[in-house]
Amino acid sequence: MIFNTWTFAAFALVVLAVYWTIVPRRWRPVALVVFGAVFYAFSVPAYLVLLAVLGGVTYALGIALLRTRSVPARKALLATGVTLIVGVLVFFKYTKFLALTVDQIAHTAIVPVPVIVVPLAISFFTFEFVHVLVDIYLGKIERLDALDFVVFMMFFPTLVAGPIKRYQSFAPQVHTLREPDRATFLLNFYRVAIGVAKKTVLADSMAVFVQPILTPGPPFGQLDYVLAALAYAAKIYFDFSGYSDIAIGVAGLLGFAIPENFERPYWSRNISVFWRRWHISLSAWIRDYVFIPLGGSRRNPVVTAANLFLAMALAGLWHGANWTFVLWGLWHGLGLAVHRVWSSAVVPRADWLARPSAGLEAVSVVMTFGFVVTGWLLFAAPTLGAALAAFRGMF
Amino acid sequence: MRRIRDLLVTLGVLGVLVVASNAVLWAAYGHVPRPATDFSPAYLQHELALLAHEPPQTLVLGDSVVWGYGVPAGEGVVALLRRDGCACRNLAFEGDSPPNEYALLELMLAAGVRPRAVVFNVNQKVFNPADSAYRRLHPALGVLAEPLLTGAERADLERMPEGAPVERALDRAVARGWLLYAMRSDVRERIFGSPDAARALLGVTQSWSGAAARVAAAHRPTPARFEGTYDLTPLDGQNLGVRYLDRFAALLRAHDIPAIAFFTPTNHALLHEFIDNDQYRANAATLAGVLRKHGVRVIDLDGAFAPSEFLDNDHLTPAGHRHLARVLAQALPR
Repeated sequence: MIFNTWTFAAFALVVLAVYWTIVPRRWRPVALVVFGAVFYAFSVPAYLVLLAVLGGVTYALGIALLRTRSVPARKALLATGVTLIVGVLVFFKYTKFLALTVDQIAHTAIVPVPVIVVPLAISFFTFEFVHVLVDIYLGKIERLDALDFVVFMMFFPTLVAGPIKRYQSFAPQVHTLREPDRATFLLNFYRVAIGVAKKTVLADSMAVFVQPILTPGPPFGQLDYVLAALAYAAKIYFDFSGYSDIAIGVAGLLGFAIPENFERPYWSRNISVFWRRWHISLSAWIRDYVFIPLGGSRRNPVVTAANLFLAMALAGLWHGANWTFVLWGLWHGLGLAVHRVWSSAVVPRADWLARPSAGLEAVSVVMTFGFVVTGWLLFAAPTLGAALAAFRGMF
Repeated sequence: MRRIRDLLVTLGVLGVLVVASNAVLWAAYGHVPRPATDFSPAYLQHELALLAHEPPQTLVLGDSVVWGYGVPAGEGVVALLRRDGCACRNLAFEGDSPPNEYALLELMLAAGVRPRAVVFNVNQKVFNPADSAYRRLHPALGVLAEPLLTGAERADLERMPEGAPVERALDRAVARGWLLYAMRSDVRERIFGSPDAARALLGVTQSWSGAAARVAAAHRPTPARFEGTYDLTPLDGQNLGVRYLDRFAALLRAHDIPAIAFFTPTNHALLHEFIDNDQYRANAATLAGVLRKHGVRVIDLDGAFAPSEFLDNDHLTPAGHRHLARVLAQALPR
């Protein structure tokens, strides 16, 4: 079920009415599971089984991790779980991409390209499952309640497009489910309306301007490419933040607070700040479960830069099975690496950089925005060739 | 229960806004120079309701040629006729064909519209089974005319797919209750002169950048682009377009509605290799015979226009529309 449809509007209204009137307070968590199942089964019902099985395995491994004291055994349990979850993600989302890549390298069809319907929201629920197992292993989750976990897994507002939740902050809310007061209720309703408007009015309207990036060619001039890149920047922001607004608003109407995903990202004064404001739940996940386990920034600058590149390449690949997404991730990895060198080696030596004036702040914001917008060419273009053509057209 | 009260209050406020916007739109939305590119069922109902309560007018039906594709609304043939004193309305739309005209006439009659006369164009290209309009009803007509069509007619004609059944049913339910939602494409086109504000802005920016001219140059009409557009199979009752043209003309006669059909001006200089032949002329004679059988007056404008009066194979320049308006003005009942 997609948010910007009447089907979802009707579903959400019925859910809210049933949830707050008919369902007794102690049964509300169970009701949320049922609502989630209906919501998920609406697209491809068979994949509800996949979600349930993978969730069940994650829960079982989580319980086993909590009960096991032996470090090697705990490591084995974690490795098994993460391999299984990531394996499922790779199989459904990246098998076709990998087969195509092998065929392209070999210049012949040596690997048959499979037809696989990607399960709805697989990128989101697999990341949440990995988070649960890793945090249990690290001792950040000390208790795993079956009902809490199933509600966490089936919570429909975040199933389609996140935000990627954290079990520790979500699970306690299942037990303290409080009716939102009037102000909170109306604020969340307003949030949903804003989200719908962002998606249907602003994001969808931008689509007509993006054509030069999708099919670059002789009819388009520099102005068309610049406008297309700016329109795409607006489109993807309104699209994704609109979805997040709807998710956060609906969750709020059900009495849950879930993480924010965007915080005026285009007003960032550097690329590091941008990534603390853009798709916050994903960038935090990448930081906690990829960048830091790789060593983060604790080692020498070269290793740190390599970690940044790898983490961002994976973040890029998470968005879609195409080399353009990997390059988009590497573009941001490059930006983050350069910024890290700049902020550690150059800024401390110049007081005017350490304490920038308003003018310099403005220039920084514009430069960061320009860097991000240029990166969107890689994200939006269907092929690397199209991205390069759009890049040449723009400059 | 407190939250349900809040929910009901919120929905109540939204309901009041819907009712108010319905009232404003119904009162303020009069006739438009021509239907929106993707007109809604609600627009058509509104337009027919207006026509039913006004003195009889001449209704001009037809495809994008009559609608005025490629020229501003004020420079299309119907706008020019109106400027010349004709009490007529443009009900033509892009993607029209005989099944669409038949369905529209059924709807008009059911709505109590009694035209003074009906003028329509006959374009041979839509009798080609490969043409997208051959058996496809406009979505709005598909929705509204469905109850008026027989089972056989519903089986003959196809409607554009509109998404999942649940979503479609909910969309129609909302559209029935909220006029502004139902007529959003019509309102947008009326305000912006384009399907929406974004496209209007895109047109402006592409004019600045020169992309509009470059795109137009890249799409300059060449004969190769129109290969297969005109089907030269002999036309007879097997052809769905011929059958529905026959039904349409018969329905006009059954209701004593004077009708004038004109063969669409066609760019023979561009299409010479496809249409300057005996079969094309024989097919035109067949269509004229079908229409005359039911008392429809037929004007043959097929080869009457100069190449400079065309934008492409059949769409007219402003000069072409002026030419067409002069011809029709002489033929229309005064």
